[in-house]
Amino acid sequence: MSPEILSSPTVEYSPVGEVRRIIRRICLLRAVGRAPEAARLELNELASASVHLPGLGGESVEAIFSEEMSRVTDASLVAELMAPLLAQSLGPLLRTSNVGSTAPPIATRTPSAAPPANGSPPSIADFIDGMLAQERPA
Amino acid sequence: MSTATVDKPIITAAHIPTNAAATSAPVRSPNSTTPKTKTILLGFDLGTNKSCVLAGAAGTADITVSKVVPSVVGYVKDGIVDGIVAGNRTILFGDDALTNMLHVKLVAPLQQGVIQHPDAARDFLKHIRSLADPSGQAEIRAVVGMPANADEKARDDIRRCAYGIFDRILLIPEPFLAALGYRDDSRVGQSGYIDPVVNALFIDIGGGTSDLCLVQGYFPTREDQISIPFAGDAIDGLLSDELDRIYPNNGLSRIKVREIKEAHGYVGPSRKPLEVKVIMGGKARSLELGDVLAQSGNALIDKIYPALTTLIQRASSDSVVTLLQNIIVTGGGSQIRGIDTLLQKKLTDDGYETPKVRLAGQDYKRYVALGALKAARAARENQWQVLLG
Repeated sequence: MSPEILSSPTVEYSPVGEVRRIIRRICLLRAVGRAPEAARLELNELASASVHLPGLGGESVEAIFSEEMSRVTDASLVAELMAPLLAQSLGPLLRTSNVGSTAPPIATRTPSAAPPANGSPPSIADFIDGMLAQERPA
Repeated sequence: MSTATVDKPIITAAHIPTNAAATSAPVRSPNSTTPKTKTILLGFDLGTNKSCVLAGAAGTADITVSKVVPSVVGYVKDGIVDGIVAGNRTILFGDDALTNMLHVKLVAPLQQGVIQHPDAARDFLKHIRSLADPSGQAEIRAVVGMPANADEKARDDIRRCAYGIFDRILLIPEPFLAALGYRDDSRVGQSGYIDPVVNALFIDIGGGTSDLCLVQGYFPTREDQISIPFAGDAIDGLLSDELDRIYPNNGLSRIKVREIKEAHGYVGPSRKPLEVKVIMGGKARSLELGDVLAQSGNALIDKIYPALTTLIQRASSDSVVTLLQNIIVTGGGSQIRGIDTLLQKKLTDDGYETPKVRLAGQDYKRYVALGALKAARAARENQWQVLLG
């Protein structure tokens, strides 16, 4: 599942974008079996965001729902196809990753608890990687 | 009385996959439709008795907020007439709450380093946010210190309380943050400077817990950290019990007892005479507290010394000699007189090779928060955990 559907922190704010973002999260929560949370989001945030909109620029909530659900489904399919291929090609590097977790399995670099081989002090971000690696279940 | 509720479930989603810088285009709170115009980074030491917050805008090296706040929330009691509490506020925080303790119900959100009263914790976090971002318009990314080896429930409790207050969060053990904060970045790499992040043993004595941590150039594992639920508050408790035994009905509040400890506390052989003047029943009295203070202070040594030697023994033989030169005591407990020299003496007496135990220094209240702010500034975009509703 593409982690990009969870958050798009660099996207410019717009009311329509906000509604779309909430709907995307609802779809994602539904896709991972968290229907009660999705329902809560729909009742609270979506209702609130929609109320403040003067209009959706021609887009209906239903249409956005349909579009976002399609994107989430596509992303899930891609993830399903890619996961075994990635596991095969990356092999041991993935042993510390959180396979099966609902949290997005993103780490593009393998966190390590070991100091760098060149003897230079590790960066703080490297330390955080080490911490996050420890937090993941084995 | 509380303004907070914590019934919302949360999802923590780590590792947002983007390389965007924290200063990039406007970002939004996950639970708000209000556009966020800027990002503020918070280094937050959420302590049992005192908290410290340092804050600055993302993408800068500035520290725009630096405050130490007693970790206490005061809910104004019913029936207080107008004008007694400044601004007729219903909730007070920190020193304001303590100053008005007659008119408020004081609630300490934390006990032994973990959240005990979630509603009060949420109110306290809102206050911290307001200190860092009075406009309420910024995205807040907070690195929060946790006791070493805090369990998942304690971590979840923080996340749950932070939901809707902070936008992104990272929870990092306090002694490691203390090492980061204590590190003199300008001297890293210079000959003769022992980088505390590369090889040191930190003893962080707070209000609720004493945390010991080996910091040896990688993120400490669980085996590198020991957290003991015995620290400043426990010393206060012992002191209070002993005072009650010797001076029944003394009427000294726990806050007063803490003040006595902070002013006169020490470890090592009993120092007598040590007379402390207190007000009991409206009358000034001079109490001989030499033995009482020694007993309560030495109880802390009895707890942390075995943990200290345990961690030293876990260090590799290649690193241990240098490590012994870099044992650093920080947190409020570092202000107990003689703690460094007594620990060093005990290590020497037990045959450890030229140990050197030092105090972190006057900035001890801020090292965890400073380390947290450094971590916030260095965290990659995909390392932040997003609090979703």
